[in-house]
Amino acid sequence: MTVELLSALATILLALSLAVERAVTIAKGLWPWLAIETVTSGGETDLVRDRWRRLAVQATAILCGWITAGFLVQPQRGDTPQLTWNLLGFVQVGSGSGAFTLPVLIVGVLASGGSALWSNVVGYTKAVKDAKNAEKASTNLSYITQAQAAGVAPPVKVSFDRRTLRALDEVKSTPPNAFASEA
Amino acid sequence: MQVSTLKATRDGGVITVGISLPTSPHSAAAVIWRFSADGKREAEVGELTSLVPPVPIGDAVTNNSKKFYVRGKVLNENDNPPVPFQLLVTVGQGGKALLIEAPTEKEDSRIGSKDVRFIYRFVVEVAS
Repeated sequence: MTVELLSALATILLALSLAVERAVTIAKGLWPWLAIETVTSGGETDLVRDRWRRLAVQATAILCGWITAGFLVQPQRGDTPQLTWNLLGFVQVGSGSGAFTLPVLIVGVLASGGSALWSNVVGYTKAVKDAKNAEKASTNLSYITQAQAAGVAPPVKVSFDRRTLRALDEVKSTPPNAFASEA
Repeated sequence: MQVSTLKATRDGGVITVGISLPTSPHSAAAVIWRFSADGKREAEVGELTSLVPPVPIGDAVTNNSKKFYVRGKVLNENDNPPVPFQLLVTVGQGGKALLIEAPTEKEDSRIGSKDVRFIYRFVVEVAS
């Protein structure tokens, strides 16, 4: 998977998960028991008794993600953009030859993960980009080495401290005119 | 004027030049110029210090018969009285040192409160 496709997938999931979070917030407004955690006498979340509420929230998120992802299905025929909604369709990720499709349900389930999912996806994207940058830097270094080997590269420049730079400047200020020159 | 000869091989890899002061804490800086076989200055090919690894100056075939002129300074540390130092120029090929020599052309063999200038020259010869 290329960086562009991974970025496209991250963008879709980011947008969808924001929509899902909004929908879940609305659902919690409609059914307040979804928003009220069951707590112990110590004020901490009661993980056993709160299990069904959390499952209901997750199911709501998946349902919202599925319904919302249905709007991302592209029309099968014609180039005219139009609003379509298909819960059993496919969502196209990316464009061009490397593009692929994912079932709407899968996209909905992925988006229901909320920030936990897309922050990971963003992390993976960044890691892939870093790897690409490292590869580019390595290629550039290889070109420089090849150019140096061919004798066509500019002088090698390294960062020096101020005192060394001053000494180099002094030496360079009077380049030798002849190989036998003493100065 | 002493000129050293680097006997390089055609496929031996890139030629590198470095300077070092193995027995003292001083540092040195130098510039290296390339001259044609008939002694005309062609280009500055690198800056050297004793604090960085040897720098590449090209492969043997490209540099065949070329002459290289290294001129630099050993930087003083205000030593009083002046202390002896050992400066070495290392010329290698493909990561292997072929010449390790002390420049014979230098102002002094001890360093006090003044930088000491030095010159080192070598010519590249590719074995046929």
